[in-house]
Amino acid sequence: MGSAISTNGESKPPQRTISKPSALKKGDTVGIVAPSSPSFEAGSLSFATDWLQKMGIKFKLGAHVGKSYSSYAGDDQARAEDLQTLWDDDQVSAILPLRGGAGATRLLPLLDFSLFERKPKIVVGFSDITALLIAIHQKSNLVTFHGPTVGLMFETAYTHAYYKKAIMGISPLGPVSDPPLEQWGSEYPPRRMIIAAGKGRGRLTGGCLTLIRGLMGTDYEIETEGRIVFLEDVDEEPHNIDRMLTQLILAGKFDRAAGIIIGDCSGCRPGGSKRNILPLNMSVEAILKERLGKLGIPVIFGLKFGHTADKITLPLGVMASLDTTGSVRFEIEEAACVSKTAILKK
Amino acid sequence: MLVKPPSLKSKDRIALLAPASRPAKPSALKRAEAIVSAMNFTPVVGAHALDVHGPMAGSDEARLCDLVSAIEDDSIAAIWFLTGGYGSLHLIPNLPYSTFAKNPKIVLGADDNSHLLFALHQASQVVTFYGNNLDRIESKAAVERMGHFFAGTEIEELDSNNLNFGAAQFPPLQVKDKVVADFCYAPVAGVKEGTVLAGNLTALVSLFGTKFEPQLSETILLLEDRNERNDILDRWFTTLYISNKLATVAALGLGRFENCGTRQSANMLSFEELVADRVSEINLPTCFNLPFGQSSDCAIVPLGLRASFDTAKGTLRYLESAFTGR
Repeated sequence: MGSAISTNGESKPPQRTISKPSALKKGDTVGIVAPSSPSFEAGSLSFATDWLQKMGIKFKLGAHVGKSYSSYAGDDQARAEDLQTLWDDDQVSAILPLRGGAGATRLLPLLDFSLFERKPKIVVGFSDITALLIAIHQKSNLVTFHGPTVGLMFETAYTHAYYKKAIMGISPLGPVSDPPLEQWGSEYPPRRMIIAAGKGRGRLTGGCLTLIRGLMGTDYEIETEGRIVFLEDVDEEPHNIDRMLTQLILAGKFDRAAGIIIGDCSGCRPGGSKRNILPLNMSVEAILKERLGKLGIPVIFGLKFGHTADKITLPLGVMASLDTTGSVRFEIEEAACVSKTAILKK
Repeated sequence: MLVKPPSLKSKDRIALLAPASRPAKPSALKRAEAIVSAMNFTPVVGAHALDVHGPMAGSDEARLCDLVSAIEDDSIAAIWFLTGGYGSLHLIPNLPYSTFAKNPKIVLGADDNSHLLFALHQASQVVTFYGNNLDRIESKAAVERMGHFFAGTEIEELDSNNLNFGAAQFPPLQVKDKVVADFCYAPVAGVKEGTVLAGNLTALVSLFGTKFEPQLSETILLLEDRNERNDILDRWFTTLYISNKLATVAALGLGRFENCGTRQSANMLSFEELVADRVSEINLPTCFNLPFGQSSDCAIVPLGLRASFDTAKGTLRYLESAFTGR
């Protein structure tokens, strides 16, 4: 999947047609799967299904959703089978992973990416689900959605509103707004700290940094050329964030990117990982300035997506623009879903 | 063509450097110097070893300056890292690889310094050495072992039951003729020859997708890690697996995974079991629990030497010397 190099030495992003799934609507059926970790308490599923009911959405459950193998929801075969069986089911309009955790990357060699290309469907998740979102987006040329898992889509009004707008709407998400400021107490980081000023426009891609790092050097490695890349993580030591960003830098992943949006990265303070703690540290903010501040592309830090209660649903593969020359403007310019009737007309 | 460094003679100068994190305290430097002096070598501490820049011993420029100076200085016979932590990844784009290839010297360390050992070995084709950082030399026996290592003499074996390999099989200046597992668990048994590549799992995966990514094909790959949770270790092992590069490895050895484990997670199998699943699928000869890693009693493993690995017995025999004669 090499990039085309034009004669004047400027490279162009890979040219391909990206297909869009049809928007979810009331009365549709979704498939709930657990490609990563299970809910430790099986009963936690019912709160999510109550919410689906409230939205007028029916659901089918993957046959192995309640299984457990180490920290995974059953063995790799079982998890891959659930994902593909429900994806292949013509009554199912969207695949909604129950939660992230760990294990989605293990499924990649077992997946038939032509299935996802033949039957474009909505798939939404974040954290560990990033592995599926990037792999399916790139291998099956499909818009995928970095947003709440079905177990978290009702965490806040902001999260729920963006979720519905992204997967139930057929218009662009438009200029991204922040959640309302809480009346009391302080918050860090600010929602849109400017790390580097500039303007960029390109298709969105990204997700959880740990997962993106885990795909490096594989067939599923993230394509960033001409893209606005969004990245976030949770409970990682600042030096681990530095390590993962440095790996992407050494791999040239930002050389031709259009912009970088770093999420809130909750818990990414010294000691946050409970694993690999160093006595001396630098803040994530300082690391971002040092590593990403002089790339010549716009970079912001603090947007609410990923591991925060408030989260935007970001579609991988649609055009977006980032302008950090004045007040930060981030706009998702293109719709992520098409209407079902539009597909039928074809 | 593999380049081997010369071993040391008494009073040779060893540069003690911190290309990643800073030594914990000033007395750690004094202790390191005393250890090297006790081996009858001359310690030369890097100018910036106690600098501070975030988690690192000084800015990238400062750490790079110490490392490049030591590589380029002909009066320095070896480089030994003081501590691990984080930071060596920043330095690898700017190392003097061709100078190092022309003027090879022993480079020894562990943990985060694994990035340097992989990169220097890969780009300069020089044998580098995965072994204790200076802050993990914790016994008189370890000091003696290290002294023997730098001098290029044979080192005391780890398993007294297996001493009787014919000396003729091994050239002089042998690092050590074999490494023997403490307690062997081989999910896939086999005897394989290959080129030894050894290091920290997190560091290895950090080089994936970059031009410094080590070639894994036909290697005997030895991995260790420290302070990590099993599912994170499995993430990085999954990267090796889904990249299809694990399948090109001749055999796999897992060393000490110091202070790794479930770390308060609710439901998690051992890393051994998660690895065993994968190596069984691809029938890759594998052995767990080799005395390889970061602690004081771990073997020094040279990157780049031909070796024969018997995973069922847990023995790794080198088929060539690690050093050139002088």
